[in-house]
Order: sequence, then structure tokens, then C-alpha cells
Amino acid sequence: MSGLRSGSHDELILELLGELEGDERESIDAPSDLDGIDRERLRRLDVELLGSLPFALEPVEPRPELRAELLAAVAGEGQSGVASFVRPPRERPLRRLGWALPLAATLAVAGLALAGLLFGQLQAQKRTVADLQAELESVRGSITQVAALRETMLEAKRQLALVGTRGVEVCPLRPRDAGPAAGVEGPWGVLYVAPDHQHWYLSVHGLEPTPEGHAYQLWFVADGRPVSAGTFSVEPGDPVELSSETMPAGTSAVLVTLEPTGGVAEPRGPEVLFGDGAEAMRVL
Amino acid sequence: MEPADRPRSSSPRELEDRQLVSRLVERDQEALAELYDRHASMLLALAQRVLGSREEAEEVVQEALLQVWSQATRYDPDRSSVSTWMVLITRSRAIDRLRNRKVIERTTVAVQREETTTHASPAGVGAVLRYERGLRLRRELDRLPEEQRDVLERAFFQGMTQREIAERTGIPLGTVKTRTLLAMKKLRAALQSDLEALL
Repeated sequence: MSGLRSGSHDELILELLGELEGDERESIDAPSDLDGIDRERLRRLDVELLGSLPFALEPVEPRPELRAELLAAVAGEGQSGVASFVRPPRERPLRRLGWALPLAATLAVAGLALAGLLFGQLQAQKRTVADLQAELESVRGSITQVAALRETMLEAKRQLALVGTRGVEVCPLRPRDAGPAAGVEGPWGVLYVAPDHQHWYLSVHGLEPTPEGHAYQLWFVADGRPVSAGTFSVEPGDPVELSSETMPAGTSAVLVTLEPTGGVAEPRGPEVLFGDGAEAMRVL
Repeated sequence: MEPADRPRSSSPRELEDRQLVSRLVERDQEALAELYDRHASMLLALAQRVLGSREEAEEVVQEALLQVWSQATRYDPDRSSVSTWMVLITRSRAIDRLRNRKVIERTTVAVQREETTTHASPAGVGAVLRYERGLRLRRELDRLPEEQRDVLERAFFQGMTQREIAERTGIPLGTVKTRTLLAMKKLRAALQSDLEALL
């Protein structure tokens, strides 16, 4: 509404009371309660009534600067010809805060979201690296196992080759005090000696698991003296297979004793197996 | 036009306002300053009630008073008092802003919150008279049935049409009109002497 051009009051009333039906309009225009007031004056009273409504509100004191800003805008009219409200530079902390706080909050939320995203990605990458490392270790373990299996296969192949060599000698081992038929129940073994009398392969069965603090020790008897060929242990249910590329010259017997862990220089423990070279027989 | 048998009996305060507007026509900045001192707090309360924002309300009051300054020649004392003229200009600008925002309900809630913190004590004779006028108006508004006061305030302070009030409240349009008419009639009858002083 610009000023009070003709009809502006009517427009206001119509806006407030508008779209009235005939009888409704008459009810408010009826002068019965206003003692003969004419319609134009009635309309004027309506306008003033509406214009008075803001007086029912608690007054709000403007900022002190508002008055000066208004007068400054009016004073600038002489130069431009039109009064316009140009707000002079002034501190407006509330407005700035009103703009800055949401922006700061938005940036903070965005930063947190970004940090959360990056943190999530970092955690995912860490999990991926850990998974890859575990997989690598698994592969390395597999490689080790494969290598061990390959070595075992090669050894088995060598042993098989030795056992199948033409002219190999086979010597049975059993407890010295047991008869030839006792091997079925007790421990027993078979020593295969290559024709070069250097390469050998020993297969032992039925030995008790190695007692704590002890080891089984293999001896070759050459020229009447026992020569240690090394120690070994026995796990429950596992057969023992030993082999080597060397054997003392003049070996005439083989024995296995139970000795302290690490072995000894000469056999002192109980003898568990004995094989006499005289009983060996050449096969093939 | 004024009927010949009913001479105008405007209050001294209203006559002073009209003199100030006449001085505006002569580009008297002091007159504008005085009009500001006499009405700014009431206009600011109006704009804040409509918009719910103190800062926007101050901008609206600034714009309205610049319009008063630039269009002083258009003021017609036969059509309204000066205060009503300024009220209608301020309300029109505030409602325009409100409609641009299209968030009337949110504003209403904000205004209700702000109202309790913006009381200002009156000072000076003019302020006392204005304060007494406000008290009488508030008293009469309080006497209105709630449903009649509600439709009147929605129409005036929120710029809602009768049809919009009906749609928003779910009340039949005819009932909205009737309530508005009854509110106007009661207020007009109760405040007749105050209103006559403005003519």
C-alpha cells in the first residue's frame, strides 16, 4: 500500500473483511449501534480501528542507531534526488553471527563428515592391508609347506631308490633278547644299506614315545666300537625313517639306545633295538 | 468528506502529527525525526509481530519511514489519521516480506516467543497517551472471544485472507467472516471515542 491513494482504505477493509455476502456486509455497516453514523464515517472508523491494533502490542524500542541511519538516508536525498536507505558501515555482530554461525556449523558438520569418511576409508584400507598380510603369510606358509613336502618327496624318492637298488642289503633290527618271531608285538626295524656301504635307510616301528628328557640314539658298530649316527625322537604312532650318505667302514652291527637328551659319546642307556650284520641279506 | 453536522474533533496529538507531515512536504528532516520519535516503537512492534525478526522489522520500519518522507504529499487527513497511515504503510511492507518468505506459521511461533522480551516503559506525555490507548485496546481485545480475536489477528498481523484463514483453521469460510465481523463491531463500539479522536 503506497500512501493513501484513493481506494486504499477500502482495499484494506476488503482484505480484512472481504468476500462478504450482502447480509454480512449489512451487519457491519448497519448504523444501529453507532447512532446514525453515515457509511463513509463508518468506513473511516474501521480504518482507524485497524490502524489502532498495533497499539495493543508492547512497544519495541529501536536501536539508537536506527534513527541516525534514517536521517542520514534522508540527508543524502539532496545529492541523489531520492531518499534511500543506505545502511552506513557499522558493527552488526548479530547479523554476522546469524550468517557466520550457520556457515561455521555447516563447515563443521561437513568437516566432521569428511573426517568420518576419511577415517572410514582409512579403517577399510587398514583392514585390507591386514587381510593382504594375512594372505601373504598364508601363502608364505604354503610355500614353506610345499618346500618341505618337496624335500620329503625327494627324500622318499631317494629312499625308495636306495631300497630298490640292485644289491642292497637288508638287516632286521629287534630287541636283542627277543627271538626272531618277537618282532610282531615289540619294536622292530629294517636297515637298508646300499652296495657302496655308504648310503643307508633305516625304518623303525613300534618304539615307545620318547620319554621326557631322553632321546633315542643310533649307533653303528665298526671294528667292535659303537659310532654314533645321531639321535632321534619318536612321537606316538609315528614311524621313524632315517637315512644318510655315510656309514663307518667295517660296520658289522647297528643298535638303538635310549639316552639323555642330546645324546652321549658311548652307549650307556638301555638298548632297545639291535641288528647284526651277519643276519643281513642281500636282495635282488 | 466530513459531514457538515459533525465537525472534526481531532485530538491535539493527531493535529501535531498532521503538522509534522506538512513539514515533511517542505523537506523538514527534524519533522521526520519527531515522527520517528513518536511512532517508531509502535511501528517496530507491529513489524516485529508480523515478521518475527527484530532485524527485518527494523529494516521494514526504515523503509516505511522513508516512504512517509518521500510520499508525504499523498497523505489525506480525510481518509486516515497519521498514525494509521504510517501503520498501514508499515504493515503493507511487512506483509509483503512475509508473503515473500511463505513461512507464515514459523513466523507466528517466533513472534510469540519474542513478545515476552520486548516490553518498553513509556516516557513522556505522548508515550503515556499512546500507552493508555494501547491498554484500552488490549483490554477490549482480551474481552473478545478467543475465536473472534484469533481470526482478526490472523487477518491483520499475518495478512491472511478470510479464505486462507478458513483453510488454515478448518473453519467454514462463512464462520470466519462472521467472527471477523463480530470482532470488528465489538471493538468499534468499545473504542468509538478513541477512534473519533483520530478523525
